[in-house]
Amino acid sequence: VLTLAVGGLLILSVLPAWMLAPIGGLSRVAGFALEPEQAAINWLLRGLRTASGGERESEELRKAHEEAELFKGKYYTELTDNARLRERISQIEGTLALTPGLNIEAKTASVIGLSDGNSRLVSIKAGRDVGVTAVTSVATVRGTQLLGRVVDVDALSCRVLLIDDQSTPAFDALLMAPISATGEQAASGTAPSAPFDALEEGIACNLKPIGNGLLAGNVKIIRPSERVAGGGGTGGGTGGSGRAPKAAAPQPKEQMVVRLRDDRWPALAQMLVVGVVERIEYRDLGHVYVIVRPAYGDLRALGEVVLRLPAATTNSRTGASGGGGGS
Amino acid sequence: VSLLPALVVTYVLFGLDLALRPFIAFGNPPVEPWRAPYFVLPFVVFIALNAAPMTVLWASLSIGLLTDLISGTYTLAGGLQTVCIVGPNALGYLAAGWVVLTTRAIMMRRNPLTFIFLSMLAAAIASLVAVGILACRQMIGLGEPIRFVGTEQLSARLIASLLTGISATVLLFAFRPLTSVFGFDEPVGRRYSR
Repeated sequence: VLTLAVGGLLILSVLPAWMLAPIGGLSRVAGFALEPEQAAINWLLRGLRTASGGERESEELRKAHEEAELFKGKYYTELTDNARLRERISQIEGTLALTPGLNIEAKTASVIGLSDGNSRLVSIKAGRDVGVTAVTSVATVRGTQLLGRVVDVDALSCRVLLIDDQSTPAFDALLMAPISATGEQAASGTAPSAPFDALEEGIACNLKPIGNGLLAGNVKIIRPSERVAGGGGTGGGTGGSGRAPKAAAPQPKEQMVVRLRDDRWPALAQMLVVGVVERIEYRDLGHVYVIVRPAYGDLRALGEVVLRLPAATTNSRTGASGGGGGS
Repeated sequence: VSLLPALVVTYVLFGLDLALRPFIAFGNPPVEPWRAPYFVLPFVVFIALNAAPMTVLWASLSIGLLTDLISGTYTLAGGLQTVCIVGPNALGYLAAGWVVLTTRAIMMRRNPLTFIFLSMLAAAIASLVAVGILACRQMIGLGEPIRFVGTEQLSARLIASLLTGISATVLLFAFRPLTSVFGFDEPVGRRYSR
């Protein structure tokens, strides 16, 4: 019998993924059985870290910071959506009805723990019962910092693949100078008068996880001339209609905030913060390479996340809780 | 071996494996695969040192199978799906249990260093077998490949195997008083001691 078992396991080891799908159910049952213990130990260890003077921030300051980040995200989303609509209005005339105002439900959920050390997966205590869906739901820290995409969901829990896991496909993002308290752009190459400029003259990049919790990719500077080609003017607060003087192309700088802008990701993940530019490398042929570190901090200290769920899913349920937010 | 105490201890150790390892892993934050000691493997060694041969093999296989179910999830190369691969750890643990079983006759079982050394050895063997099977899986290439870098996995697991010596030292103090609870006989050598 033992020999048969060994043979069976050897065959199971090499079977393709789709044939192993039923085992996923067994795995979830085993994980479910361990959840209470894992969550209890995690809670205890997080408590010990906090008690030993880990990362402690003033509660008010933290809340204000979160709120500001949330509004920034919404603000940028509105701005980019505006700009995109202006540029493509002629093409999407007949399909405007397909992109109505996006309703997002935000749901706070506690972290069960990190998965198993093979990949950067985090187990979250929220499943289909609260409307979580695979691939179309994303997890964030404090509602603004993108943590990753839900890749596996069962009745009561889900697994989130972090954006810096090496199996996460490359994605597009925009680099933006952080806005100072006065609303001025802090570090933009063009020294614009309002944050709108930085977005309009955005610095795009294609990021790919490179290990060690970092993302990296080539920068593509979108020059005003490229962007205006569609005809809509620069618009917005700067009053850029007509012939604006040619500005120098914006340059990436360290500490710039990187926000997701990729159509392959769900709409509710757009403009969430991916991280902060940690390093810039200038390579041959004028290629500029940025290294970005996601700003979700130490995963081991992560107690809860905010899940962003598509409203279509949450509407179908009764008694769904959580604060929403259209964008 | 008494089943109930063994199941309880296995449950507790799996919880420690999942929750404690990221906190004590090398690096800040730790990089996957975690370089942190295993907690379940010393228990396999403890069983392998004390139980009957067939019990050892089945217990090793069962605990390895549970390890696969609990921590054998890998992401597919596409990045949007996960798969639980059953087999690598089960066979690795079985090999580890078998090695301890065959070497226990020539070991001084009551010596704490024996348990610590065998824990490290068993962890290394289990790692080699598991990584080997996963590498074979990648080479055979049926279906979509998982994200798996053999050298990275092997080096991390071997470092973890060395660190298992630390967890084995701690667990030894917990396991020793439980010998009779598990239904294991005291080692023969005790008969002749005072």
